[in-house]
Amino acid sequence: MKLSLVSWIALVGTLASALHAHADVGTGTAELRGCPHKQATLVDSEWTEQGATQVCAKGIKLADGSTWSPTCPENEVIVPAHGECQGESHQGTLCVPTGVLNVQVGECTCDPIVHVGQWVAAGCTCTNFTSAGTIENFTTKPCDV
Amino acid sequence: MPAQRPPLSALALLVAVLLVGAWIVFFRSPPASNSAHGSDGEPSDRAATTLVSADDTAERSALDATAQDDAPPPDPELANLGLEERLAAIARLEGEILQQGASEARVRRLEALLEPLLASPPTLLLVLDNLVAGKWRSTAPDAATLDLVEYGGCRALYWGLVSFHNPRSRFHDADQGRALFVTILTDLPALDGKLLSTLVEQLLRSEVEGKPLVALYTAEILELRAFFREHRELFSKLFARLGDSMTPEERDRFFTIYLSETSDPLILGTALRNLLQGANPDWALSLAEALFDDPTTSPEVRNAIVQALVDGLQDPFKVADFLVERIDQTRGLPGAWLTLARKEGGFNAVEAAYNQLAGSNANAKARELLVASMRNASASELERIADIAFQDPSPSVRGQALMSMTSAPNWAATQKSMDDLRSAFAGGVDPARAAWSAGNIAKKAAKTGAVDLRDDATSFLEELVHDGSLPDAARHAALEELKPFLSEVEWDLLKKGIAK
Repeated sequence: MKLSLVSWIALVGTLASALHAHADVGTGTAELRGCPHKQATLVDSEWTEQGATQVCAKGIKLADGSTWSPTCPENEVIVPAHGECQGESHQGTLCVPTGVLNVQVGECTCDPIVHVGQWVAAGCTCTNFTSAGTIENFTTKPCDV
Repeated sequence: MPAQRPPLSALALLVAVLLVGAWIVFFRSPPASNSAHGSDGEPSDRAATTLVSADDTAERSALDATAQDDAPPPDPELANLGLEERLAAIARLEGEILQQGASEARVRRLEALLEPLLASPPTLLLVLDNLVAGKWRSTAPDAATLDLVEYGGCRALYWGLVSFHNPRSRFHDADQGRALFVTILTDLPALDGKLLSTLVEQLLRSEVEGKPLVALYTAEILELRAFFREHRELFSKLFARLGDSMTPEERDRFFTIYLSETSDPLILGTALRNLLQGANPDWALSLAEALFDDPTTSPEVRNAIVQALVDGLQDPFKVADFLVERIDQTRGLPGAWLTLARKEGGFNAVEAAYNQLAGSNANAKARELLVASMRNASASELERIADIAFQDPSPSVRGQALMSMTSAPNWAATQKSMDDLRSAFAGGVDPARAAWSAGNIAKKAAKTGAVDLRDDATSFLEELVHDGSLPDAARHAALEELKPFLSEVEWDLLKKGIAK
């Protein structure tokens, strides 16, 4: 079957508008070309013990030689909840830095078991938290803004 | 060659194992309540409630077979205590001993309180039953506290474990010890929160003649870890101290197999830490590097590798090199960087790595994290951080140096430090890091009673809050630092000021 010139023009025009429509559906707008289509991953805040375990000086020793000594970490580190760029995919967005958040470090000391009424608290106290470092924070932004 | 058919007996065995497994999973009854026990404290048959295999019956039988003919007559004053009163008394007395010292009278009293429990393994089992059933659980005021009776129960189990395993104890009985240890192990998945962590602590810390008891039960721990897959990390945790009593060669033999456990970062990290302390640390380091650099390795496993290196590798220079070379992946792990300089020779390693980068003004992020780890400096080394706070070309590194110095445990806050902070801020240090440093100074000054210095630091913070030219994040950082020093009303007013 042969097509006339008019038919060819009509066919090319239809194909061009279909391709344009497809591009809009796929990426939103022309500005999204080059968009990485990624989003920030939210990481929960975390309290971790750091440093060697200190065996507290005061312990208990029974007559048969059985012993008990409470232990303490050297430090406790609090990393706040933050966003990270871990490569998570998301259409039409990118993962961007928003600055830094502070990481706190507390010094831990052996502390006798504390009884408060019917409750027992651990024999280790981490206090004097200071801002010792930072962690970068990231968020998700639309590519076309 | 045609595939060989499995023998019929093997198939039958497989079917039997699957059936038993299914029965345990689907028909396990809930934990036994206290009412299941007689008034004399005899435990009920819990074989179906907690254990994985028929071995449970054997373990429990061993616990039930109680015979302590050589026990001394009980202290008349303590003999009539009920179980709950006894456990609470143990918790109170241990607190007293740890606070006021272990006088002979206190230790004797503790032994007298423990004696009826150690002489009656079924009663210890009843304690465990009640803990599992939550009989002594009430709403704790916070996540860090435990009911006195619950705590006393955990401690009684601890003394049971060590006494039964201790050849010098008159309660020594290896079978009872084994039965108690394995029964506690199998009950762990039924627990949570502070009670679980306290009980795990009892298992981890129990040792006889310097050897952790977990070393005797690795096969059982592995079996349970395989069975309770959703609680796998709970059992992996029990391996934390396993290498403590091993020779380097033993560490290599035991832990190499766990390097393939990439879906369990906890055990992989423990294995790597032990191998780094094993007979061939360079081999372990190259394995760590290969696994870390593998693009398919998850962030959790990378985190575990870094922590294993910081904890296990003796040479701090190698750890610093590892972290700096992989700065893009390690920059999000501040905990590891912050403790790097605590290692022996760590400050020298960190300073050498910093100097190398600073010479060419390279890799500002790595310099910043190296400076962060310098907070563990000695008093004399702190001078070095003060120099960096003024000399490094990067404002973020200078800001980090101020934070490291003011948060250092060996640093004393002075008026000069506040003056230096103001001039560093004027010289371009970013306002958020300046705010956190000022907050550190204010807290230290308040603690030592240096009121003028505290007020100067809080005034600086208020200036930052009021400065509308600064980014909101920095103003909010300053506002947060002011919280301990203002009334709620004053603080709210400042906060509203930023919102405008």
